[in-house]
Amino acid sequence: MKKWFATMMVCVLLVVSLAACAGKAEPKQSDAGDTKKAPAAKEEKVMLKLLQFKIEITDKVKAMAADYMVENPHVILDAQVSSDYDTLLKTRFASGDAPDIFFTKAFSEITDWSDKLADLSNESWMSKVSPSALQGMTVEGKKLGFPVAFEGYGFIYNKDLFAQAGIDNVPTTLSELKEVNEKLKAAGISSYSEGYKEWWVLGQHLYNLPFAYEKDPAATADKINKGEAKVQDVVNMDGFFNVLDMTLDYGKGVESIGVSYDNQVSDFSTGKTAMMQQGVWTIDSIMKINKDINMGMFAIPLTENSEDTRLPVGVPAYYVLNKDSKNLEEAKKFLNWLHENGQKYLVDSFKLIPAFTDLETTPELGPLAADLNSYVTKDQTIPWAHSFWPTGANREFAKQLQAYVGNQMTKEEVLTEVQKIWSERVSK
Amino acid sequence: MTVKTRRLLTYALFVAPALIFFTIVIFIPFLRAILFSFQDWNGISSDIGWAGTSNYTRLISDKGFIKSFDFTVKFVITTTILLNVVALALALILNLALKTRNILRTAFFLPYVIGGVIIGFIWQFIIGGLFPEIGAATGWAIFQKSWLSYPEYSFWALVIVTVWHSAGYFMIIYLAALQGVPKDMLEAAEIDGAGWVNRFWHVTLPLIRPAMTINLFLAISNGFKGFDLNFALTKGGPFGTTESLALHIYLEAFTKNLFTYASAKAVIFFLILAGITLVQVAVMKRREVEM
Repeated sequence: MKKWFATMMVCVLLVVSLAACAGKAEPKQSDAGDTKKAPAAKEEKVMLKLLQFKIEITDKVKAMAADYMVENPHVILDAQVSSDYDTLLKTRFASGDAPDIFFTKAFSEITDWSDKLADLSNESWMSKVSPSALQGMTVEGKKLGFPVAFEGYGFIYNKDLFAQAGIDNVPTTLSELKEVNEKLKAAGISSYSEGYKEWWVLGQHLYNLPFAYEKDPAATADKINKGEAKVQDVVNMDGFFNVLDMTLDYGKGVESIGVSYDNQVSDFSTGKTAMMQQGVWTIDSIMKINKDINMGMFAIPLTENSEDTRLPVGVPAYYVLNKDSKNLEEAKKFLNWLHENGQKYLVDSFKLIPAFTDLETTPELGPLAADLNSYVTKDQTIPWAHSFWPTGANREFAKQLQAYVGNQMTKEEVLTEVQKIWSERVSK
Repeated sequence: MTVKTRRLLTYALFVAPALIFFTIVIFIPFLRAILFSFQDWNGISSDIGWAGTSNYTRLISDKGFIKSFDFTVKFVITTTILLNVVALALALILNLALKTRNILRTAFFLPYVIGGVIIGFIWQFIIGGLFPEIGAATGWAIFQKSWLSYPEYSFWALVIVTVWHSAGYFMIIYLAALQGVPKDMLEAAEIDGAGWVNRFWHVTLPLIRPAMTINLFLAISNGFKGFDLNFALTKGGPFGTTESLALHIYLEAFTKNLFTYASAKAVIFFLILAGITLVQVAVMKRREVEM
């Protein structure tokens, strides 16, 4: 019967197409190359799923996972690094495929996630966490995170170009900064090509400064949240606009809002500009373009008092554990292992500045890390106060500031809008 | 088993795979989004509250949403007109007996094969790197500006890239329709003394109306749903002036954690898009000529 044959074929096709759909759920062999079979392979392997951002160290994270699996043959550590992390993480949770170990940012974000996170207060490594990394991961008295690194940013500058323009010292006040720019201009060197197309360069890092320079940034944010203070009350707001204007006047002006992160870094690395507002994470990109560059980093001043000038230092991400994970204990063991081998992986391999008191910053981390470290040891740091802003406000702030850069809004209008966005986000 | 039931079964089996996927991937999430739009949830926490209609009432005074809507409508009108004009012109030219027409057809269709995100990145380099070089070489003021820094230029950058990307696809649809226009009718018109313009206007155009219906529909709905190019080329900037509705909704949900509010926007977006395209197809259908 031909017709029966046809019907059968259709059934087979249907089953095959559905099976192909289900194929995804099979435990994927990690591509990190877990070739060694454990001797006691009979026992059930433990599956740990790790999800994080920081795509620049993807290979190194995978290598670390491979090493961990060699040392712990009963574990499959599936490490994934994603650039579109926030979306992926939420969809993974929504689809019931939640990772066991993942990244969370400090303050607002870790608070949003807190009811899904395991309490790590009693872990042995917790006592070794640098004090300034603690606050960002403490929610209602529980310590929830494993700090991956310290990062900091300021003006990264080209020492050769500075010397060429006759600048001997890095500026520590607003007028010194202005003087540096004037000298560079006189020497025919462009100061900046700031990547204001990126919301985070302008709306997060630069705009963090006035909030971070507050005496008690957390308290200020809290007051604004409660409606007791306004954004306009932030003391160094004028200083911020002063610096912003300088990055435009001695840089690309209006066209800065078309400059991307890549453009910014490449302009600096190739010596087209003498400075850029960026952080320690750019070191690899800069070195790839120009490995002989002679550079350093200094804190951006917002006042005329050089003692005020400090470098914003924060923890870009914490490893956190999903408290509903089936393998929570195994995940805790992994964090323990990562701390014990922190020097090897976090510092030497990932090239991160450790946020643990028992791990050391090495010279191999490069000049930016060294300058960052000198600010840390002198205790001249300020927090990443943007973490106190309402979730998602940073991108909205960036739009207003971009409008300012594009001559579409005045300073007063920007501040009014920022205040409005902040109040709306809090009342929601 | 009668012939009728067997036929019905075969029919069901053939439709089933598509239907199942459509239900799982489109229809159920769609219903879920409608439900979400009446709830209050940040996309993370474990408990989902009820919001009643407050998500919708808030939407009326949402400046960001209205701004995105404005931009999207402008974008859709511009790209729909340009895409159809360019594609029809290309199709008419490539319907002539040119020696290179197969190569040209392939060349014009090629951009459509590349994904929107990649296109966005490529054009970011062309606009950011090549345009200033052209500007420096020719002295033309239009190329000396950094296009992605100014709202109007960014808008036109998006329009140009969209037209470049999709014109080939629309061209193929028009080409297929043009080849369906009977030669004898055109010849008859020519013998009757109709010139090139009259033949095109009174014979060809009415006969390719079905293709126009499809192309207008595709241009309008693709324009409204535009996301990847905005995401990769302008990121909605400068200062949010090129944030399409789809990108706006995505950002609300995933960066501001306003998951349910974004769902309400998505529902409204769906109603608007469905309304516009239904009207368009109904109007165009009525004007089609049956042979």
